Amino acid sequence: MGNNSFLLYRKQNTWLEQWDPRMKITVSLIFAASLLLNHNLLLKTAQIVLLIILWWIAKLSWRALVFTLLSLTIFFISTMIYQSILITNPGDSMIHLGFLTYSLQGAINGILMCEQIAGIVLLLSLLVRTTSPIILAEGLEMILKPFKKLRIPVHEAVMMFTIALRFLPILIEEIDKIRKAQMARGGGFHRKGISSRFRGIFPMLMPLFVLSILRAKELAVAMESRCYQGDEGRTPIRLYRLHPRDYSILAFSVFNLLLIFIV
Amino acid sequence: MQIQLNNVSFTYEKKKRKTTSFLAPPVLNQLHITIKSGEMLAIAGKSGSGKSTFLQLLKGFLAPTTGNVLLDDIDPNSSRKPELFDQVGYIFQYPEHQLFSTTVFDDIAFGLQSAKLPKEIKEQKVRKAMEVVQLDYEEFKDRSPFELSGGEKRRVAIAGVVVLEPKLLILDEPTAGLDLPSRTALFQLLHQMNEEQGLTIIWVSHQLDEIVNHASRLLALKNGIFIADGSPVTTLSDPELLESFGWEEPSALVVSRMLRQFGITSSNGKLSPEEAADAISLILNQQQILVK
Repeated sequence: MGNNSFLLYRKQNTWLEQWDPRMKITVSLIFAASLLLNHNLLLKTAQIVLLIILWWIAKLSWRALVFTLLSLTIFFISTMIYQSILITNPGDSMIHLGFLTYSLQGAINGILMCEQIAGIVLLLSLLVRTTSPIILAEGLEMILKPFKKLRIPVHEAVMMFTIALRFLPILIEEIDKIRKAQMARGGGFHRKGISSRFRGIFPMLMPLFVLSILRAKELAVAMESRCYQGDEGRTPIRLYRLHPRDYSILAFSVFNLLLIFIV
Repeated sequence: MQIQLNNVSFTYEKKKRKTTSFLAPPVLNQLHITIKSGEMLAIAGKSGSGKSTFLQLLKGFLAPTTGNVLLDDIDPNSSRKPELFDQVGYIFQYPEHQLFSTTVFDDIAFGLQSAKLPKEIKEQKVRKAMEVVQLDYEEFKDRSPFELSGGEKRRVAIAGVVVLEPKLLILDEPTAGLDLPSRTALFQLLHQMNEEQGLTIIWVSHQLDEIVNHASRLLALKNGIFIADGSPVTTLSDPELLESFGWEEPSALVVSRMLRQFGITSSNGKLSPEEAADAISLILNQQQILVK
């Protein structure tokens, strides 16, 4: 019955999923930096192609890829329009595309910009689609460990994030149930006009609120009764060890970053 | 109201244009059943056997993948009359979780809002619904539902459904989390509604004693198929069925069966507690006479 499509991650045990989460986050950051710094059309295209190949290796659905890219259409269009207005080298030969006029540099800039947007989104999408949220949070916590010395509550923040993620499916199930329950006793308000439907929102939100607070209270008691006392002295259930594979992808992404400055 | 299910199957997997090799097994498999008006129908089955799905089909929250559901010989799904499902009252598990208003009156009257009734009629209906669930109108109407006890909250929630005057009442595990007095009171209430208003009542239960004592008919659901359908006394006396569910014979039936085996009573079926007590005291008296 469970529909988990809102959680992007689905366990498939592909090569990408086995990467160490710390390394994955680091590599994603480096790759993002190189995407942003890169102003070579060929190289940037190659990077996008690489991301798409990774997408394929991760056995993610092509539909999701198309959907992700199409959802950015508005950014692509606005970027291209912006670039046509902002003609960089007026002396250049002009390219006419419908009602838009570009200088060569402007067109390249526009495409680069679009690739940048698509690249970053694909990269992030790839990261969350191949890493279980809990592993991602653990990786984040390990990376942010140094900040603990500055008394930044890293562990607490990550714990909150994890709990929120964990309770999302339960909450969604609850919403569905409350919605049906209110429909069942609502005298058909859900089939009437918008104002009538609007009045149905409060009866849904109120029980949801009450239940969430009750649930939070219960969770706090349950955590305490299992001796949770925060970060101090807490041992991890999963031990992460860096493999040669992780170092090699790091090396590759650093090389990728350096390549920009060489070319 | 009579409900008829013709060849109903249900699968959660949506149909895709490209049929993949993977096909989810149906949650309900070709059900064929008629529920007559005025029945007290209990549904039993393990979790995941399709109970909730079956109930949601009756309320129209789900439409069957194949087959059809007929309410009084009309299929609301295919004839596009979803308002017919309003005749069905559905009380979810822990209905007290749906309460939201500041007063009991508002909460119960929620279902009447969209009907735009005059104030007096609204009040009358709420009063009647509260009477049915045995809550005193004057005492409770202005109180906050959140300060009531668990049993009272549940009554308020049930009143919120009853106020719409359904012809069929579906309850998903109505006694879960209630203490014994509240449970007894709830069944008294259900019987009363069943007898006085001719309401058809369908409820899910895991308590076999509850089923034996209150149901007129039992449907046992397993893997999306009704493997038993009939009077609870005969169904639950069947050792094969009991074993297939891993159930223990309800205590009322055990006592009746043993008394019958010892030749103390001759009646087939379930004895009421009084009858059993009489029979036992009779045999004890006889023994005392023998000892003397």
